[in-house]
Amino acid sequence: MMEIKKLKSFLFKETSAAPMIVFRIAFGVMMFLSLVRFASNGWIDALYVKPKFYFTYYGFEWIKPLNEVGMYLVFAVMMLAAVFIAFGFLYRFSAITFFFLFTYVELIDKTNYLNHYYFISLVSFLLCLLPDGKKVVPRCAILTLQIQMSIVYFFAGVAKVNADWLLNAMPLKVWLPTKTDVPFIGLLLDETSVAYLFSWCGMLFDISIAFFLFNRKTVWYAYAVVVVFHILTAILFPGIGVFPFVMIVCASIFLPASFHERLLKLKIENRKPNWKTNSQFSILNSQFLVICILTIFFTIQIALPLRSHLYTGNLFYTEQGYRFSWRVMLMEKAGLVFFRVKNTAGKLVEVNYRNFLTAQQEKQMSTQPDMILQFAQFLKTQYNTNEVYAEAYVSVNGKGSRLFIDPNRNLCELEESFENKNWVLAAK
Amino acid sequence: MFKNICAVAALLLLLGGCKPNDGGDKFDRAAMLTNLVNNIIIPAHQAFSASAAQLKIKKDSFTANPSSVTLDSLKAAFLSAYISYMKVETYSFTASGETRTLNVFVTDTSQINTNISTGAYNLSAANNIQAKGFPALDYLLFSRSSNEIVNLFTTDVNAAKRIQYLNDITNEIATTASGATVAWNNSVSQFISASGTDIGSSAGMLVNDLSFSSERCRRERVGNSLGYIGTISSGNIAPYLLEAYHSAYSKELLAENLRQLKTLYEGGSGSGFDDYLTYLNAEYNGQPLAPAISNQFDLVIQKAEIIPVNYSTALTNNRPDMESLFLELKKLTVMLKVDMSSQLGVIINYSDNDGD
Repeated sequence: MMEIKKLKSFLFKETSAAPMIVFRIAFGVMMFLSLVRFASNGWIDALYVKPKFYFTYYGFEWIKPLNEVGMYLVFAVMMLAAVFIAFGFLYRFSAITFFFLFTYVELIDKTNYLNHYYFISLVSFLLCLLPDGKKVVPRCAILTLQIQMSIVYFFAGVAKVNADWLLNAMPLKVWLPTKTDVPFIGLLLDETSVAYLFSWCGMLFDISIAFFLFNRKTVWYAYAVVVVFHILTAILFPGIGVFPFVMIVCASIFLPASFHERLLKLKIENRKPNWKTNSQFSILNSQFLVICILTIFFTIQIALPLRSHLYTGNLFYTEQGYRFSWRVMLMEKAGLVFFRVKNTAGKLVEVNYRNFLTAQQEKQMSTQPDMILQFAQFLKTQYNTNEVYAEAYVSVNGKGSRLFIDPNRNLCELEESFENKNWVLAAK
Repeated sequence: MFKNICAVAALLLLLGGCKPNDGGDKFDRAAMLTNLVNNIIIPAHQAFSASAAQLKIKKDSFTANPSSVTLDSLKAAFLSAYISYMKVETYSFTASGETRTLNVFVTDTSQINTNISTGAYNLSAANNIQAKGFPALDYLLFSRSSNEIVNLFTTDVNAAKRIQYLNDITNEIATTASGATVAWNNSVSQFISASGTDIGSSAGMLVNDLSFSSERCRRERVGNSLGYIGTISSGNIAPYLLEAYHSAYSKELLAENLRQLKTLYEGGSGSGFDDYLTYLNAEYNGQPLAPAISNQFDLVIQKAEIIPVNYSTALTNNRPDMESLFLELKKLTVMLKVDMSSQLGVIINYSDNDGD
């Protein structure tokens, strides 16, 4: 009992709310800008209006996109909610709205799965629960966000502990030489030794950074390294979008409260900031309930990246347990699938399926067994047939193309499940 | 402290990698691009432009005086322009303009006839994409006997309108060809300076064009007519789906298309993607990838060349050969689209979305 009391008093000790407030403002602004970028790139239309077919998540097949107006409206409301979160206006309601809409959009099509979108869903979920706009918050509020960040880094690092990454410097050995046009450092990127250096440093950074961020003595150095690391990745891999900036901004939750206080006083001294008003842990007054929810949340967070170990076969081929596990930029995978269906005359014909998929959908589907199966089921109904076969080739981390899916397996007879996918050939 | 040591070590290693004597054995992508654009792409466009201009001249003599003699020389000009079109069809660069729209088959003959009889059409419109360019000429000039064709352009009720349509589609070919040639000439330095392999880079686009063309060749020049690929067609042989069905030039075009793709891949006798893959030590089933792709090209070219001139009947009579060609083209496509692209770090089928 003593320990539990101690734990409680540790977790619920009142600390400065400034880091939370800065986090909330930064997150809101960041999300607003990301959504504006998303919309102005025409991606609402390209990803959620144009496609004729969507790769739903297992168990979430009921999630469907709205019509064009509806999708634009969803994004408009999300933008508004992001602004409200930043200003702390209708904060709780805005956070809940943002979380549900953002997660809804992400669940529409797994083609668009990105680890940082998942991260945003998780953080916005936490923002629904955590206290807002006050002078003080229980320590567990800030701790929760810090632990969430740590999980991302740590598991991203653990995922890099594999032979391809460490012993062969793959996929960086392939990716870095494509960036030799980057000013200054570009000259170095053709060097194999640089690929090894980046691989090892990246792994060490991911695994260790959270510990240095937690340590008061090293937090500023660690944060500087975070900034440099993510800016480097942003320069080298512009394709990863806003991810580096999201991480730089969110990692500021580790910085000392005194820093955030100074930041806020500078910014909003004359504006009657609502963070000065004193109030209680608003949505969840029961400390027990908070502990329970967070315990469950983090148990799931730790279990998800480990679930891949429950499966046999090579993870890079089966991708069973690959998503939601912080496996970021881990492999170079390219694929090509030929689908054959039995037509009404009883003959097997290859179908040109390009018209059903966007380029991005085709690219993602070609390398991921669950999506190949899903699409085969779609072709089954599309062609009103009972036999669909996929002849798929995939190359992982430069190992060369391999036959990937059992071409003699009628995919109509299979169903998506959490079971081992023994029809993934290259995994054996 | 550990972090500091790490950072210093990293910096030292980075600087250590900077030794000037390491500069010698780099693969020079800009040199490869220079070779490709100056010795392959530009000459290809010049040749196409010249043969398209010649086609226009022969068309003018035919329309001025339609006879079996002027028709024959127009047909010859058509075939030589079609062959040289194979050299430029692959490229999807901005400079290529609408070049790729000049050869979308299967020919939409009913759309052509509607266009002729109404006289009201916009060749740039989407519904006319299979009613213009080479597939339309193939139909207009070859679908009947020479005498009948001449009659269609002289005594037929729609003769004047048909002449007008012939003028319009031939002129569009010539204009597109000369426009693309000018545009390519003007974009040489831009092409060379985009020397990365990321999205929008010249090498990145060429790798995409190569794998797209290989896939298209397999599907449209071989698979469709064999009945192997279809929407949900009967799965039977369908000669009318062939490219250049009426002129029976399908086999020559197929072989030429594959030869051109090989030339682009190897950079002719200069620096090309094969050299790049060799530099990267890329492997395919434990063997070097670069010669494996070259050999695969040779194999499919050889298999295309042994198809009898009458491609339509070969679909039935030489079925095992055709099947084997189809199979080897699949292998080639996998090599280009999966192996080569992933070794070069080129993203295939890109759209400009984020990824991680």
